[in-house]
Amino acid sequence: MPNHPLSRRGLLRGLGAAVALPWMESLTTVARAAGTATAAAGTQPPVRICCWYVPNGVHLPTWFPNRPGALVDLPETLRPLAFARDSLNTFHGLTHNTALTNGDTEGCGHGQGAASFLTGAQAYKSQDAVKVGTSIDQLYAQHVGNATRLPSLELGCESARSGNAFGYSGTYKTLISWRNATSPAPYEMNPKVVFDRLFASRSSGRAQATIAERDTYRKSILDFVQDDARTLRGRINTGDRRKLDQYMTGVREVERRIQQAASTSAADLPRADFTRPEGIPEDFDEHLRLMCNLMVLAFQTDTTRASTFMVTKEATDRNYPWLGFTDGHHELSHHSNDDEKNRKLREIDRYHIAILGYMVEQMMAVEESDGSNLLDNSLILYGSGISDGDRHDHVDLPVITLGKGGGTFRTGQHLQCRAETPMSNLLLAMLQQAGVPINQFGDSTEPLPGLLA
Amino acid sequence: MTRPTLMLPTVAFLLLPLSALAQDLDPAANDPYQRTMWPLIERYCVDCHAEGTAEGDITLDIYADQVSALRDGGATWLRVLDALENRVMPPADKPQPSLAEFDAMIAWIENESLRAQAGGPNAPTPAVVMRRLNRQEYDNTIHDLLGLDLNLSETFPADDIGFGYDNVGSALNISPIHIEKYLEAAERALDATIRLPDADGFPPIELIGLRTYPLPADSPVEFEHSLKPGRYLANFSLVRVGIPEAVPPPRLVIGFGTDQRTLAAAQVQDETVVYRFWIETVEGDKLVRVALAPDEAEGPNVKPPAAVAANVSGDQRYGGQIGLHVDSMVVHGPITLDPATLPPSHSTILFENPGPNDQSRLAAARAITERFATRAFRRPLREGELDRLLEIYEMANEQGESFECAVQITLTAVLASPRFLYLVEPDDASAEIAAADRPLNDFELASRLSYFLWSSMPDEPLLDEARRGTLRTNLKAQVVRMLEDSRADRFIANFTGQWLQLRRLAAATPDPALFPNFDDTLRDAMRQETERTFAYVLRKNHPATELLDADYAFVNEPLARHYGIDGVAGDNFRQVSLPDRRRGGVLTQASVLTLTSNPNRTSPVKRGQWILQQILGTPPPPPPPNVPKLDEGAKAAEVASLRDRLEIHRANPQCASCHSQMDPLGFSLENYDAIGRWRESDGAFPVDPSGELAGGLEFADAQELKPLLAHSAAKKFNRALIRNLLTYALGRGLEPQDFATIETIRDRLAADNNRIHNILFGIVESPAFQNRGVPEATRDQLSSRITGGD
Repeated sequence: MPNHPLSRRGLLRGLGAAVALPWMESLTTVARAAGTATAAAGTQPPVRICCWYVPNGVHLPTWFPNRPGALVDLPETLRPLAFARDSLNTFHGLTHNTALTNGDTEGCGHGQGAASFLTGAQAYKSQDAVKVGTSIDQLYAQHVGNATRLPSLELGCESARSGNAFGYSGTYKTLISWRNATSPAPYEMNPKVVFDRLFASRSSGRAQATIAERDTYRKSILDFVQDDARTLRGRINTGDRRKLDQYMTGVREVERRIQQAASTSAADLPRADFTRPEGIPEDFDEHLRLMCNLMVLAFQTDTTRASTFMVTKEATDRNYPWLGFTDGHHELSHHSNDDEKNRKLREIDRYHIAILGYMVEQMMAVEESDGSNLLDNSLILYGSGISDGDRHDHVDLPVITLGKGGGTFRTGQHLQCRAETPMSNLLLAMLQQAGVPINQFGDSTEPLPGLLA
Repeated sequence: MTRPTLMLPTVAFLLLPLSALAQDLDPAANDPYQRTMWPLIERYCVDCHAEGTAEGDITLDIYADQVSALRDGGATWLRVLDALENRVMPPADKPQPSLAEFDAMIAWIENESLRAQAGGPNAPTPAVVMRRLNRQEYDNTIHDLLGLDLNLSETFPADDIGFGYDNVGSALNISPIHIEKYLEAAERALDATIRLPDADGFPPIELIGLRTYPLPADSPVEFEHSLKPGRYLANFSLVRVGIPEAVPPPRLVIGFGTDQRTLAAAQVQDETVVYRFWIETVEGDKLVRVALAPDEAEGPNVKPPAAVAANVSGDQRYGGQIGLHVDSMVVHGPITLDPATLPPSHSTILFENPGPNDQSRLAAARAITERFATRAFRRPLREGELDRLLEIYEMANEQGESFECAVQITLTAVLASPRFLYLVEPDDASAEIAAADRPLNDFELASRLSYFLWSSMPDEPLLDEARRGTLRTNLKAQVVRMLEDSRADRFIANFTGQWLQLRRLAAATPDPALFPNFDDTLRDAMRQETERTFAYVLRKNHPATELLDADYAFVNEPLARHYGIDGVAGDNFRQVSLPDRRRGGVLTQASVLTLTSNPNRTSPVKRGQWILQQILGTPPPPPPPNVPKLDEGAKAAEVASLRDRLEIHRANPQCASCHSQMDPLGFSLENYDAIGRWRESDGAFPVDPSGELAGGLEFADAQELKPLLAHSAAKKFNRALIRNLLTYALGRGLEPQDFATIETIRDRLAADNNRIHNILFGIVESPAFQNRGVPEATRDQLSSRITGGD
């Protein structure tokens, strides 16, 4: 009985590999086709931004390299990324002061850490009216998103329901991507649904109609509902209007997508030979890997240039029986320096890093139009908004980056930052090097030095 | 039972002679704060809560009189109330007030502070922020609207939660992905509802042959057909010679006899314009007729040849003859829709069958759309709404779509409209009016009722009451009817799922090595037991406190086996009488016991916290930072029992104030393991479930704790239940203004033996439920105007 999950794991992993191979080949052709368009326009492949979040902090002693400069021996937890060392940056000293509750005695740090992670802003204390700040993926999406069919892609592997905690909305623990300060971007956890969004033609609600016909009617339906919303707006109070404005923004965004689809001829649409996933795999490991595949697929086909991945929710108590124990992640993260708990935490950390490695490996295998690979043109941010799960602190955050951002990012180094350097400085540097014209982000004081290639 | 309101006169009476004497000398004698509250605060509280030394940010020596205490102390008094009710303050090592003094302080806060803040019976009630349907409500509404179980919300993003519930308007957001999904779901819903005519498999019939006819501007082209009566899908090609492709193709009128349609082009390719349309023939029809639509005669497709840019035709058949040519007419059919094979949803929604002409079809579309939109918007349509919707129908109709398809597209717009997706209570005229409160109209009230008790749209009887204006008169009868209806099961599941946190049971992962017999069948039975318990108390109108302590349980065979109850066979649930009180009431149900446990052990802290928060409505604050958590590794378990280890943890004074409340509650349930099975020992250590509640009430185990809670804590439990139900019913967080509503309902409940219908009646009859309410910003303006006056 206890052996069962392990043997099933092995089997599934084997299957995963077998499926991945033919897919990789066919996708390379697709990517070349997609890449030609950009190459013809005389530009480099676009920069992709991809942000991962893991909850509950990490076991810090095996996370940080022990000396600054070129990365030689990776610390134990990061070792699964050894093959990509040249593209890796590690940091020590980054802090999110905006994750502190600043005098509020109630907040527990979980929601605050996740909310500030990509926004550099402080979560507003409320059980319902959430407010924090625009996240970097969304800023980047607003900058380049009109060039792609989907401005951004939000993924996660745990049901997004999260209750309130200590006066703060559960949304803070769940969603890291924010379209603006008050509109979080929910993530999708079903790989099938993600696949259908990426390749819209297959998700036609109306079986008989052609896409063009369907879109014509969709446009007039959207016209109607927008009209309807406008009339309604004049007869409701300001609180209601804020909600209706979210609706109207959504309608305009969907309209834009339809318009863009109309201007793209069928031949330009990426066609993946990737098999449509059947739903949410029962096996969590398989679920994580499928999401990695889909992110690579979305980037490769230039369907989107910004994605976020909430591996699990902040404060999750999910367990990882295939690692040989059933303790919940959150329970373990309150380790009290117990050796056994720390060992288990390291195992979970390393497992998450290995999944990241799985995605990175695929990105390296994707050749882009100018001969570079997808990882070269990406900026991957990975980390947690909590440092030590037992202390719930936000100092010396466990954060790494991968990818060269199209050659602008210096990599392969461990940066020892001044104590309590705002993590927003790193976020600002990433945005600037991806071409977003801003000088300040969140609580940044300057773009993090040492990253310019 | 001690009732604080009874105590207050006693205290006042004792003070009366003194204050009567001093009345002229001391204005304080008339000030309720100075008379009642301040002497007690001075004696018991200000040692630690004085300005400058205030512990826990509570300063109690800064209020000079009733006015200042009420003006600035709102949040403070709530916390003081909490501390007093829980007997957390004054700390045990400080002088303790008598019970009467406790009650006097509590009564002052409740009556003077909280009720005063609520602003009296005429104060405006807070508005509900326009609620979008959450996932359950969406699915239920689609189900009740169409009669189909489609579970379309599966692909929607998870709903945001506010104040513990996923139907709180201010918390629910919409992002572009929602709009995408709503549009898709609307299409899927109507695809499933309406069967479109299908011409697949019918061979093409060419009606013109190789001939072509020039189409003049002023007269139709006619040719014969010999089609059998029935419906046909036709493809017609018009060739434009010498007319630039950029000129928009003309609209045509095409008839096959009786039926005649005005049509827009479907497609333009080079010189050929294709029209694709559905048309019907009846007995006696003989002639196909093609003409330009009346307003096209002057259009750019019909100009003197000289004016048209010379563009030599590529098609030899026309020999460069500039102008329009009727080229080919291919039909598929005849198609008959056999009513017997149609899904019931089809005939219900498309209840009119139009005759073969545009007017009849438009009339039918109008009737169908009106009925559908009225139900979907949950109110009669407003002036102009129907016409605007029918513009969509006419657009699709002109594209040549079948009647069914054009209606389908129109109804899709209804389901994508904000009036369907939100519970919206707009004003008739401009938003200025929204500043004042108003009673909901009967349709709005019907929707509040149905989304409260059914998580779905109102049904015909409710809408009928609304139409007749009798809903308020028959409100109680409707509530009772609605509770008996099976749709109330949705309320029961949604409410218990969130109030008692039953939804978390779905994600519970008991360690399979320790609990091999835990499976989904058992998990499901656990959930059902709790839902059935609540449903029973609710539908039978039993005392609410029966939820805490009862002499019966609802079990099926898997659950009975789990509990060690004999004689229950099969998967069906039944009510059994219990020989003792090991079971009975939600606290000792396997569902609650499992969802408050860790995968590999019980968690008295989680259980205690759950009781404090969900049952007593007094959630403990978060643990102070930097306190090591309880060591629960295997090694620790060998050294001491969990209880002993928690005692050590509790020795830390930072932890003690909360754990002294949580732990006795949690430990009383140690006779139940991490999946709720009865046990006498935990590993090597015998279980000690005894304890003492704040205020000195002792109990030997859970069997004694349950009646204790149901009686001595009935006030707190009732208030917590009312607060939860009110939050859920309104779809908003509660505010100080709601205190009066809560207390009114609590009085009503207490006066009728805690029978639970009192809560539901109290809620639906309250102004908070019956009025549209005033948004926060406007209320602030109003109150500043009021205070600005004095």
